[in-house]
Amino acid sequence: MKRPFPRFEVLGLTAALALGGSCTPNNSVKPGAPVLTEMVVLENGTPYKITSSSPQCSSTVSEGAMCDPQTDGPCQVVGGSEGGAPTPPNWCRCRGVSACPEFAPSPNMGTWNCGPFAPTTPVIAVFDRVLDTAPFDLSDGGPLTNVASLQPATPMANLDGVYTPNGSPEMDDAGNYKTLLFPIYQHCVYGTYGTDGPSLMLVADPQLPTGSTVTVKLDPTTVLAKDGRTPFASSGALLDGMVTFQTTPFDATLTVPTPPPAPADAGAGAADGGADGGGAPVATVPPDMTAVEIDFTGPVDVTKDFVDIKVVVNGATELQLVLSQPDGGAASNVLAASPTPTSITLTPVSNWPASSTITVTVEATTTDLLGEPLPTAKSATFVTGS
Amino acid sequence: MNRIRVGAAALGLTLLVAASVAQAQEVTGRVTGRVTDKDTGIPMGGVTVIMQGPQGEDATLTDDKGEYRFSSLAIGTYVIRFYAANTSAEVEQPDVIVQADRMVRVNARIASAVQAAAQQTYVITGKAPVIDVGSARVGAAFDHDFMQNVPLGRTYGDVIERAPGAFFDPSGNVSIGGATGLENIYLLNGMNVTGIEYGNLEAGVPTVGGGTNLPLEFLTQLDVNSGGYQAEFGGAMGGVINTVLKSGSNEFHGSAFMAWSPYWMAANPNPVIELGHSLGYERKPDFDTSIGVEVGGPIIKNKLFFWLGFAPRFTDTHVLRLTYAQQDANGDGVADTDASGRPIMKQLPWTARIPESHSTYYYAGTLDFIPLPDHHLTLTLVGTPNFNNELGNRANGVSFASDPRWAQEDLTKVNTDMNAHWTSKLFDHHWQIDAMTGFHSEYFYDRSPYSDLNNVNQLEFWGANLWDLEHAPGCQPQNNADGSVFQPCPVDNYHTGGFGLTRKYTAERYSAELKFANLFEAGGHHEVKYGWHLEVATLDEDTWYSGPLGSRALIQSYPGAGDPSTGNFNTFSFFTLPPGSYPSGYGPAPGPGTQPATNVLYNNGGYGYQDSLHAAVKSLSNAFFLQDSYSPPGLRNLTINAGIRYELQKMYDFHDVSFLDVSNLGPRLGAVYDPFNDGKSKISVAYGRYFEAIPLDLAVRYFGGQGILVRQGVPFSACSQSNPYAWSGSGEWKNCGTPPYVPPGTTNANYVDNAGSGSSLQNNGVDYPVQANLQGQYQNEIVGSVERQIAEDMTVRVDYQHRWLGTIIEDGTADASFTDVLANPGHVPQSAVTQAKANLYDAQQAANAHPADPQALANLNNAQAVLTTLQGLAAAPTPERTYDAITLSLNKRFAKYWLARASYTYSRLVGNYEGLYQAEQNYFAPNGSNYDDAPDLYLNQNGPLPNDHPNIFHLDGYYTRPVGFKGRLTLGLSFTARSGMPRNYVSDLYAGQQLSLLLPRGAAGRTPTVTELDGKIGYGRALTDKVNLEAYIDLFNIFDQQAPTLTDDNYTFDQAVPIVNGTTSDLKYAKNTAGQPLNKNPNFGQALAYQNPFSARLGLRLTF
Repeated sequence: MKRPFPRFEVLGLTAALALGGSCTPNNSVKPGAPVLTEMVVLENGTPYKITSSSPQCSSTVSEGAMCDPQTDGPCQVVGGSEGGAPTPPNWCRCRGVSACPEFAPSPNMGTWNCGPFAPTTPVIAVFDRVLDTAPFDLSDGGPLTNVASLQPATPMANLDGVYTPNGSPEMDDAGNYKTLLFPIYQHCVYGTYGTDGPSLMLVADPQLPTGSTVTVKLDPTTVLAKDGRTPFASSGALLDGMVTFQTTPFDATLTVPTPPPAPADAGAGAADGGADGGGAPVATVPPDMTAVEIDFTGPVDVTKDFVDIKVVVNGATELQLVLSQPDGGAASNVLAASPTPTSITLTPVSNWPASSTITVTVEATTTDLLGEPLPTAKSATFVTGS
Repeated sequence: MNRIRVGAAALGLTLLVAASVAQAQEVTGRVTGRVTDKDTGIPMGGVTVIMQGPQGEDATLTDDKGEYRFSSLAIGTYVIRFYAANTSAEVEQPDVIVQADRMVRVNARIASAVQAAAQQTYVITGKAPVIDVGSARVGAAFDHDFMQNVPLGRTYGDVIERAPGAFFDPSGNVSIGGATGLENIYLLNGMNVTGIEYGNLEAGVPTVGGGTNLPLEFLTQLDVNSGGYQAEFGGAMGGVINTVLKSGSNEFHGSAFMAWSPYWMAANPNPVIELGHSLGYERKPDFDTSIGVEVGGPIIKNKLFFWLGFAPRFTDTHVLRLTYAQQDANGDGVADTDASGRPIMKQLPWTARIPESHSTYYYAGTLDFIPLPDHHLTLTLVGTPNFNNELGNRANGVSFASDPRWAQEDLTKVNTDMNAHWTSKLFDHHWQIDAMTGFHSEYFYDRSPYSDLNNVNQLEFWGANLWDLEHAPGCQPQNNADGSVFQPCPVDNYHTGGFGLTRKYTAERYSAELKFANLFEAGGHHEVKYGWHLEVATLDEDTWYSGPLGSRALIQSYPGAGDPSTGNFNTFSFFTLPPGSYPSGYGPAPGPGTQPATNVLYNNGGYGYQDSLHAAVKSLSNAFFLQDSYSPPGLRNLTINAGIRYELQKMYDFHDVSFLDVSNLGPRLGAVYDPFNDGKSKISVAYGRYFEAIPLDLAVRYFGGQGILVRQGVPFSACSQSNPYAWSGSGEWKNCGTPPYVPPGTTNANYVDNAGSGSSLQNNGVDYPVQANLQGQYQNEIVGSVERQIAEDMTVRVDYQHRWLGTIIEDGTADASFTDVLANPGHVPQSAVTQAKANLYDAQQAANAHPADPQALANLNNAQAVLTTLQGLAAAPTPERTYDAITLSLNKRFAKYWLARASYTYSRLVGNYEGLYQAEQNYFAPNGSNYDDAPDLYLNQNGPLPNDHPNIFHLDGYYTRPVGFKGRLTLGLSFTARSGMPRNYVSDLYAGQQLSLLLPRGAAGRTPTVTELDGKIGYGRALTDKVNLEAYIDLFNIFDQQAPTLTDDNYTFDQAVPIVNGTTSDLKYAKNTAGQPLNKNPNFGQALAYQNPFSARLGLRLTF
């Protein structure tokens, strides 16, 4: 019987069928270890990106020296005690980096800041591919407490992680975003920092230890590739998924009402008065309701700490301090409120007493959230006019 | 059975000299063959071969190798007669089927040695082969009998999907070879009748016009070329659809017909419900009635023929708006959900009925004039006036107010086509000239049927509820014990007020064509074709938002919860910028070199705010082609097709200035081998490069002066009427602290734009910048086929088709100023970037020389934005759309009472670029889609594209045989099975554009497999010898399978960037750009459209 088709035709079509069936793209995450590409230290909303190639600081880098925020990334201060006082490990960063470079590019001129970081500073670990979520699922929707550790360890502080798989990894060779909407929306519209890839944001709860050398270290047993086995990879300055830096000591700064600027001829008058004998008159502030601001270097518990704040009039009368309540609170002389975790605002319920010397004192018993007290009591005084 | 009749070879010779040539249409077919001695097998030269067909006869002589060829044959069924000079015998081959642009081989063996004493006619009882041995094309041809006896839709647009591997995509048009439904070209009697604006076919889609569609009764053949077509054809990246109208013949033929689909013979459709929202709908039929008549015949026999058809169609449907309430039984202020987390919704007796009516008056006519043998003129006139009163898709399918007036559109679409085609055969048929001129026209007007609603702003409400909007019973807010207030009937995108976007246009296409064909021997047989095709297309459009003159705009309202006046609203209004200005010259506030964007709320010197945008644009296309079909002398069963097509297209903006000029060179190469030289098998392969003919939507939108000012977040509290529910659309938005006009070059310290989220210019308002050295959009294709006639009436065929994309033309941006540039994303040539750098340098020099000149600064900013965008588009991913398909098909032509055609296609369509239509958004935007609107959108895009339906099976056929006295019973069948459509996880990164893929394309699986069985039962009876009456019933979707065909893929309406290479396990950790977990759309995965339910159609047909 004659074949309906020659044999070579059948073979050719079989080959074509095989070729045609093998054209589905592979959209799986690329195999291998997730590479830790950055650890971003987010200081007061400004991102400083530490990468595996971040260098040690050269001799030209020093506190206050000039730098270029567009090109100078953080550099590492290696701890040691060579030739002088001990140097704790830390990172110098170029001040002036814009948090919204798309619409407000970083200036070409900045200054190096080699000081400690605020104890509320988050660290964001950024990867080049998505991670295995099975270890994260153990948290059942809560913060991830098993992805990183904090040193020095303290029972009062946890290191919580937040996994975000949808960062924007599209960067060109110069490290600029190839994406457009992502940085604009995230950085400029919402003012939140969006990472250059899948990320773990690590935030100390309630805060990092103050005045310490802290190390944030990823856990290689829970930060894994999608295969559920392969731990993340890191190198250079990010070796072992670890970043070490200094935190500021717990301290407070008081800002009291300031006198209005003196009129142009006030100085001459004062000079005349001086010539007539007697001291220069003390500058006074209007006896109005201007608030007193107390800023701490770390977060505080206002419900507890406001009792350690004293407001004394003319050295004798202590004004009662009551915590502000949503409905206006009970009658009191001064309301305390905490608009941010690191500040307390004292607002008089009516004008400050006239012609009085008012002293605000934050006692040394005031502590941060980890119980660290102020090194000393802090006071500030202002004088109200008539 | 043999039969004897008187004849002589001399007769054949006479006919050869003075034949009334049987050929007519632009779309014609060819027949070739070889005559041999029955006893010796020796080729017989000098045999007279006569073909007798519908419009007369044609004749030729075999050459010394016994070969003969006929070309330009009118399609139809022929009889071929062979007369040998040395014998009185005649051999006759009946039932030779000539199909459009196909070549069949009909061989004959003549018993020359017998020298029969009697004059005999030997009828070849075997069927003539039907395999096209002249080309490597793939596709299908449907003749009149197929269209009459198989249960099909009413128009040829409904039949195209019966071709192997073809299917309707969500655009309402048919996807062929992996392309979108907007990438086909439609030819009617050789004339291009494709939609001018979008490149589509009119398919009854609301708010969209299209090319000329006709009822099946007007056609004699529909030819779907799915690939492998030669240089003669171009302008399509999908398929070439050839339709051939009926024409008159030497006998009078015609039919009168009617079809009626009553509502009571249709099943209830599945309602479309949007979970988490209170409005749903269902569309139900009332009736679909067609009546018509068509008749053709001779005016002067063998010289002048006519054919006329008229077929009005009336379709009434209605849409029921359905309302649903959610519940909060536990009083926590949150809607209760079922076990799967879906909101529990209860239907309310608060409905609205929107009647819909559609009327189309199809008419067509042809006149064929054969003044002399070998010369033929065909005149064609076609029209499809169409009038609709329907639910516009601006109402978003579901969300329209209880007053149906607000949801209705009055849509007029009138297509008119005229065509004149002249054919002459010269020099003993060795030279053929075809000249054609045509005119295609589309009139489109989409407005409210109520004139008062054309003068009122459309008001869209978001985040609202049916209690505040309508006081719908059952939607009363629930005050909970914990102080929360629960709204049972939330709605988004609720429309009230005026009509909204209104469009009116006239589109025209003038075409001319001159083609030559030469047949000659030169080292083998050549059939050389060459020609020139010219098209001038225009689009003259007026567009406006409804509203009072001076304050026309679309309003999007976001009423505040509890107190509506605490909310805000957005406005969209049209503007045009003067030439030489750029959107980058407008900013949030007056400043050096910038005006406030709100200045375009005012009209100055004809620019700025526009009550109506008027744009007249055009396209000029020239195409030249040269092709040769060559058969070597010793291998006449091998045909090598080689050709080249050179296409040029220029497009002109609304100032009549050319903005686009592409030159496309498309090679074609193919070979067809008939291994047994009997016309019963073939092996073929072909390669081609096919360029797109760019529709005019691109020109009218982005080069028509269209600009849209978008103001977002204007507080209601700034309005004199601060309660948005009290707005009537009478221009209240203008009384909301509208910022003042600030003359250019001045400042205004008191200027404040009270749009909280800013005011921005979209669509530029001036021509988009265009990349230098722009290349045309094209794809490459390889097809290979094997076909064999395995039984006398049956062929089996296997096709392999591979298509891959080259360059595309799209608009896009990569610059923070959002300056759009028309370019070749992923293939921006270095020369274009160099040119942009040079332009920037020049602009910088000019700005340095004139630092105080605001125009110089604007030019500089624009040059920088264009360069940045071009660099971004150069680095964009290479556009990919790769189609691989293997089709196994079986065709049993009509014989022994039955016909069948079956095909199974396994295909994959993968890539990152859908094409000229975006299914996720139902977006008709050829070359101006959202594909490159931002680099963020490139992520996760590679995967199975929406038109990836791996398995497609078609089975069509009919069985018809005499029953009883003069009776005939017909049973028809049509069955389809098709894999579902890939689904995605989509977010709303780009505000209002649901196309950011959270997970890799296709990660959400597929919609269910679709199957449908249609049937037909007909009974005909011969009233006289030539008059038949048939009654029939068509049954569609017999098993009433209403599988979802489209689902809601919007996983979230949050702005969220993709999870690159992520999986579903990552979704719960994803964040929006505000850093918050995603708010999941409760309707994600729910059906947005279903298969049409069961319906039936009753019909009567009188033929003569």
